[in-house]
Amino acid sequence: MPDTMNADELAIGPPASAIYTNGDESLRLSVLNALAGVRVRVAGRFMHMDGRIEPFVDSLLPASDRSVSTKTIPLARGWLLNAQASISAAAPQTGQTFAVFTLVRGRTGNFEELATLAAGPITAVHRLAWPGSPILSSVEGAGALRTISGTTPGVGAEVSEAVPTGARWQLLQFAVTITTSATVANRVPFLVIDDGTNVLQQFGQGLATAASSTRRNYWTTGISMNATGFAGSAIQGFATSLMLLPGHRILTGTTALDAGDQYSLVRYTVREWIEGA
Amino acid sequence: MVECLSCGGRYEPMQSDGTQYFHACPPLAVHELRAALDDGTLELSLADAERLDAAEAADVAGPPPDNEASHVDAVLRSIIVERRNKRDENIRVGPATKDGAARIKAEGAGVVELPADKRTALVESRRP
Repeated sequence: MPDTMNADELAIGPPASAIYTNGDESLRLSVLNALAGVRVRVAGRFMHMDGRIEPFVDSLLPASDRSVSTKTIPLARGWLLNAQASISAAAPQTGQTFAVFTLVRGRTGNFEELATLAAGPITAVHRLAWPGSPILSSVEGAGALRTISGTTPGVGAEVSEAVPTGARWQLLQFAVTITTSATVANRVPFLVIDDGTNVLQQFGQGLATAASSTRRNYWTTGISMNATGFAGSAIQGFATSLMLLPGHRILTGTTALDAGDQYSLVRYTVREWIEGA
Repeated sequence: MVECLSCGGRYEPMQSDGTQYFHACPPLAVHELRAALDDGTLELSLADAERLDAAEAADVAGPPPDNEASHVDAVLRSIIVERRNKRDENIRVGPATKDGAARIKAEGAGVVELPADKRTALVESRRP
C-alpha cells in the first residue's frame, strides 16, 4: 500500500482528529513507573505536507522509582495522525506504570507544553492511544496490589515503613513478629500511622507479649476492632480506608519495649497508586 | 540483603515483585527516648515537656495496672524524634543532578552488603 496520499486524497485532507504541527513541535511521552525492567514502546504515524505518511517507533526505559522519565520525538511540519504507548518488557500491574502524551514546543532544553493528548495506565495488554484514550489521573482505578517485606530493625528498635516518594498507599494488612527479652514486662505493640511529624492514628493489640516469648501480631482490615489470639498470634482490626501519602509512615509503638527485644518478619499488603514525584 | 549502618536494620533493596524498596531509619523507641532524657541529650519542646510533666503526675496519683501502659509511656509514644544520622533512601523531589540520577534524601552512615542467604528448600539427605 502506498505511503503517500494522491491528489484526490490530499484534497479531502487529514482526519479531523489529526494535530497540525509547524516543525517546531514534538510529541513527548512521560512515564512514571514503579517496576524494574519495564520498557515502553511508543509508536505512531505522521503525515508530511506532501501527503507522505511516515510511521515512527521508539522506546523508553523509565526509572523504577516513580520519578518522571521522558522521551521526546521531534515532529516535522504536517499532521500527527496517531500515537500509542505500550509495554514491551516486564509485566507491570495496572497502576504501576503510568504514561502521558503531550504536545510540546521545542526539541531540546526548555520545552513549552501546549496540549495533553492522553494519560493513563499501561500494561502488557492495555495500551495508551491517541486519539481514543481519555486523560486519566494516576490515582484513579483499582491500584496495584503489593506485598512488601519490610526492614528487620536493629535490636530494641521499632518497625518503621515509609510510603515512598511518588506513591499513594491504602494499607490492607500488616504483620510483625516480636521476640521479647528476659526483662519482665508486658509488651503491647501499637500500629502507628504518622506523617513524619505528627502521630495520626494508633491501633493497639489487645494481647500483650510477656517476657521471653514470641508472638506474631496481625492488623488487618475487614474485621472487628476487638482483638483475638490463637497459638502465639494476635489479630486486630483497623480502619478500612487508611490512605497514606508519600512520606507517611507505618510504625510500631510498643509499650514496655526493651532494649533486648527484636521485631522481625515485617510483611504488609498495600494497594498502591502512583502519586507522581 | 543489606544492613543500614545508621540503625542496624536489614532489608532487601529489591523486592521479590520487582519493585524497589526505599529504607528509612525508624525514629527513637520509647526506651531510647527515656535514655536520652536521662542523659540530657534530648531537649523537649515546651508543649511536650508540659505533657510529660502532667503524665508523670498522673502516674504518681494513680499508677496504672500491670497490663496497662503508663501515662508517661503514652506520651513518649506520641513524641517523634528521628535518630542521629538517619538514612532515608526515598528520592528527593525536584531537579535531578547533572547526571540525571535521582538522589536519596539522606545517606546516613551508609549500608553494608550482607552475604546472600539461600532459600529454605528440600535437599537430598546428608545423613549416611
